Amino acid sequence: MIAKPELFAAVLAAASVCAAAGTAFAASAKPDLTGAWWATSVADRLQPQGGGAIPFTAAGKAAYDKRQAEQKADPTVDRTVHLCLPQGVVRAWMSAYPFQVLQTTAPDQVTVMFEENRGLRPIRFRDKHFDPELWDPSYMGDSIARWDGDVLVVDTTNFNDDTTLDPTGLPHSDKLHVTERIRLLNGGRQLEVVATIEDPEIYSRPWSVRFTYDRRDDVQVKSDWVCGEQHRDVSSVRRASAGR
Amino acid sequence: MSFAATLLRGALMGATLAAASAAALPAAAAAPAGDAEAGRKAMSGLWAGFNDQPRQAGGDSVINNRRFPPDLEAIMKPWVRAGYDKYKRAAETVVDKEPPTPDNHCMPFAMPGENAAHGFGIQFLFTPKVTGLLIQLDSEWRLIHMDQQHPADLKPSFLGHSVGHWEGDTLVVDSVGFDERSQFSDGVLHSPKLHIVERFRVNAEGILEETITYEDPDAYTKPYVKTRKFKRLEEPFQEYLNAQNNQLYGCPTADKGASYQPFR
Repeated sequence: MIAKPELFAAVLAAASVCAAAGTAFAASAKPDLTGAWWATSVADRLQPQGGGAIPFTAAGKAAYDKRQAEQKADPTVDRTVHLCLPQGVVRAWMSAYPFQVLQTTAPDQVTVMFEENRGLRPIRFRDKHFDPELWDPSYMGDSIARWDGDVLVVDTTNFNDDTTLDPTGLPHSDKLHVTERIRLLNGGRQLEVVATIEDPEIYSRPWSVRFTYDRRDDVQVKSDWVCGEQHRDVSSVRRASAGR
Repeated sequence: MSFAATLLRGALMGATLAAASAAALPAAAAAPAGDAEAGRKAMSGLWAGFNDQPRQAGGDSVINNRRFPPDLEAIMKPWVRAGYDKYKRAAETVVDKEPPTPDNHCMPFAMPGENAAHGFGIQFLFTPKVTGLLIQLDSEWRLIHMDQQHPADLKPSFLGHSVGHWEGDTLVVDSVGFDERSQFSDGVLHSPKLHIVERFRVNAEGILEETITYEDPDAYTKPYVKTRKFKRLEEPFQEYLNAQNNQLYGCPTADKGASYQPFR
């Protein structure tokens, strides 16, 4: 969604972005997350890292039960699947399809392109979010990042209400705040994402989920997903019954 | 017509497509002004397409908004011409809604028609092996595989498969493998042989120029060349999704797929 036109110019003028001097390739001592990445197993339901139950508030549990009943009665309620809308955060990380990461210095950002549903997520090295009064809520939210040693720490807010956190319908409110710690493992052969979910209306405390992906230099991520058409074979991706 | 689609058409139909047909693919720039690093640096940032030519006469009627420059019409082979004529008849006779097009069915804006959207941004993401091209309209993106060949067994797709290399400070992108439902503009078809070469370079005035050569011997009697121009936008790339809001014909769904088929 685009911001209101009269406000757009203002926020854009205020935003210091792009066209920065310096090389366009990522050229720093920090890890380069660029590459094609693909999960080896996926699950349909988020599982808290370390086990245990999802810490719902009473309102959160009621919202989840209601959503599950609605999805059972009418699967098209899950617009993410039915209309192939962007999956949002954290759900996009649960995809059985690969994604591309491009890490650049001009623009100074890490961009994640998800093959499934054509998801696009710019993660900008900025120290504050765009003003939510001027910047419309979106599927992927507004992501800003910084390095903590070799870990990319991503802070995301300002989500729209057209996503759920996972395919089972885990809900979120407009208070959703996701913090991700992303790093390379095993000499860069794997990528780890640990996402911490905070949403005081739905969850009684922050809780985390973990994902890992293999680097796949042999894979070219596709950019034009059309809903309901044949997509790449993902039969090699294991469907796990529990979290990863 | 959606706001975004209107903008897209404005850009597509305008004389930005100050087009010239060419007998062959353009030769490499004779004397590149800089190197790839200079090219990457010059192209960084967000760019928006603009027209520097007067709009074509004919106002804003549906059909005139969709008219492609006569020089493309002039080189259509009969089957392309026939499909286009069917489309135009539908556009003239359907009063309560637009004739079917990919974009009013929520299909990707796609190549060959994509990224000219007036006022919407495009942005390059340069990495050594892959160049990303973000397209703000509908939050689309292309991946350009640098210094590689096209795979032999390509499945047709709306954006095709793109490989790129640098000639001096010019980014040269070669694309094949297009889905036959993608279009130059509403009702303007191509064959599976469509081959597109784009040459991107920032000129001395700071304008990004994209010279595009379309070759499709099964659909057009000779190659077609046009130049698009882009101005720098001092703003961040923002998520913008138009397609999902289209109520005209409905969007493709997971259970039924897409219903769109072009006029033939």
